[in-house]
Amino acid sequence: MSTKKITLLSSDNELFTVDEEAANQSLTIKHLIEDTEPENGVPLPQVHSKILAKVTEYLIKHANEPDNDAAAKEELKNWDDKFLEKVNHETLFDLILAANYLDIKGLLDLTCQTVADLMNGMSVVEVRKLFNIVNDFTPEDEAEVRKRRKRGTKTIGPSNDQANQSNH
Amino acid sequence: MADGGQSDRLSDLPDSILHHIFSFIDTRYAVRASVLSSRWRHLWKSLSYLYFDWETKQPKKIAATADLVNMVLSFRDRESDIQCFRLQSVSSKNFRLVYSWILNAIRHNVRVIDIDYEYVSHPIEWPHSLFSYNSLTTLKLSSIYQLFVLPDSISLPNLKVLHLEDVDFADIKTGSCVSNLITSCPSLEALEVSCMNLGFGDKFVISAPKLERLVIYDNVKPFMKEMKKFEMKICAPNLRTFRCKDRILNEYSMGELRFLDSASIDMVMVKGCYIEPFKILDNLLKDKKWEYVQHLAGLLKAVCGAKSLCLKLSALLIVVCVCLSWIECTRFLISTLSVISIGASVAFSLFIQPSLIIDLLKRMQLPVN
Repeated sequence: MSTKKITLLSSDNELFTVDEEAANQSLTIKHLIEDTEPENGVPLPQVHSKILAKVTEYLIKHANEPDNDAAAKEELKNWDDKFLEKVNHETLFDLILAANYLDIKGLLDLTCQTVADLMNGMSVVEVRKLFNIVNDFTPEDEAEVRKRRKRGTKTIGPSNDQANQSNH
Repeated sequence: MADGGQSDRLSDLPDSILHHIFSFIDTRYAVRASVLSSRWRHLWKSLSYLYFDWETKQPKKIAATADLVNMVLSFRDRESDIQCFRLQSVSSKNFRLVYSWILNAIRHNVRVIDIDYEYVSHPIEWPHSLFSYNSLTTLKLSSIYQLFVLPDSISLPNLKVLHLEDVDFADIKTGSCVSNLITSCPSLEALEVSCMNLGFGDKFVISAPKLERLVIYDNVKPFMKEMKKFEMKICAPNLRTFRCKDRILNEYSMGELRFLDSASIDMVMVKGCYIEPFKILDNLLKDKKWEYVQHLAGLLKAVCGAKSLCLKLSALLIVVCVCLSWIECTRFLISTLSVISIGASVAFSLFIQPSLIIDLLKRMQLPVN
C-alpha cells in the first residue's frame, strides 16, 4: 500500500509534506484536494509557516488514532499535553484560528479546552489581566451588567466582586 | 503566563470559537464573563452548549444555581439553538424546575440532553414531549437510586446515543421499561447501561438493529442480597464494540456478531465477593459450577470473532474452569483470538493454589494442533 504525499504551502511560501491520511484530518485540506487537485502544493494563505509547522506536527501524530488501546490513548494524551505545554498565548490563539480555518476538530478541541482550563475558576479581574482584556464599559453599563449577572451568580464560586471593586 | 504582546487575542476570536471554548466549562463562567467588556456582554445569551454543575448540598448555593439556569434560559436569544443541555449533580429540590428547563431546551431544538441527579427518594416525572421528540440525538440520564417515571408511548426516531446510569423506573419492572425504551429508538448506535437493577423480570432484551457500541457495566446493587438470575438477550447484529461487566449468574444469548471489532468481558460472582472468597468458592463448587461455565462459554463463543478481546475473569472462575477440565473448550475458543489479556485478581491468586492458574495460563498460550 503506497501512501500518497500531500504538500502544503504556507502563507510565507514554505512547503510542508505529510501523508494524505494525516492531511485528511483537516476537512478544509481534504476538500481543497478533492475539488482543485493542486499541483504545486495546497495553498494555505491564512497560515504562517511557524504555525503550519505545529499543525503538521499534530496531524502526523494523530494520523492513526488508537481505537481501543488504552495505553496508546494515554500516550497520545500525554503527547497532547506536552504539545501545548510551552506554547505562548500568541501561538495558542494562532493555532485556534488555524484549526478553525483548516477544520481540524481534534486540534480545535484541544486548543479551546486549553483556553477554557485557563479561564476556569478565575475571577473577572484575573481573566482581564491574563488575556489583556480592556474594560470598555461606561460606569452605568457596568453597573447594569453586574446587577443582572448577580441575580444568577451571587453566591456561586469564588467571589470576584471584591476584586472588581478594588480595580476601580 | 506573561506574554510580550498587549493585544487582546481572546476577544478578537469569532463568537463561534468563544462558544466552543465555553463548551468545556460551567456556563456560569460565560455569564460571569459578561462583565469583562462590551465584547462579552451578550455572548452567553446564544451559547450552544449549556452546562451547569450543582457541586454542592448547601441550600443557598442550590437555589443560586437554579436561579442561574433560569436566567440563562429566560434571557436567551430566541433564535439560537441549544446543541447540548447538561446538568451535573442536580439537586432533587429542583426537579420541578428541571421539568420546565427541558421543555424550554426543546423549544430551542436541543439535540443532546445529559442530566445527572443527586439522590432523590420520590419518583421523578419527565416531560412526555422529551420521549417523543424527533430532534434528540443523545440522551444521558443518571442518578443515585432514583425512580423515574416514563410515559407509556415513546418514540425517539433519531436518538443515536443512550446512556442510563443508576436509574430505576417506578411502577413497572425496570428491565422491561429499559427494553421498551431501547426498542423505541430505531437509530440507536451506542448504548450504555450501568449500575441498574435490570433483573426483576426473567429476561432483559436489547434489540437494536443499528447498535454499534454496547456497554453493560456493573448492574449489581451492593444492597441487593437476593440475586435473581435472568437471561440477557441481545439482538444487535451490527455490534462493533462490546464491553460487559456482569454477574456470571446471568445468561447471555447474543446471536451472531459478524462485525465485532473489540470486546471486553469481565464476569464476576457478585459485587464485593472479594470479602469471603472461600465461602463463595464452596457454594460455587457445590451447586452452580456447571451452569456458570456454560454461561461463560456461551458468552465467549459469541465474542470470539472479535479482533481484539480482553478477558478479565475473576480468578475464581478460572479455578472452576480448571476443576471442570473446561480448559479444552477454552483452548478451542482462544485459538481464534489475536489479543488476549487476562486480569486475574492478584488477591485470589494468593488465596488459591497459584499453580492452577499458572498451569491454565500456560495452557492458554499453547497453539492448538
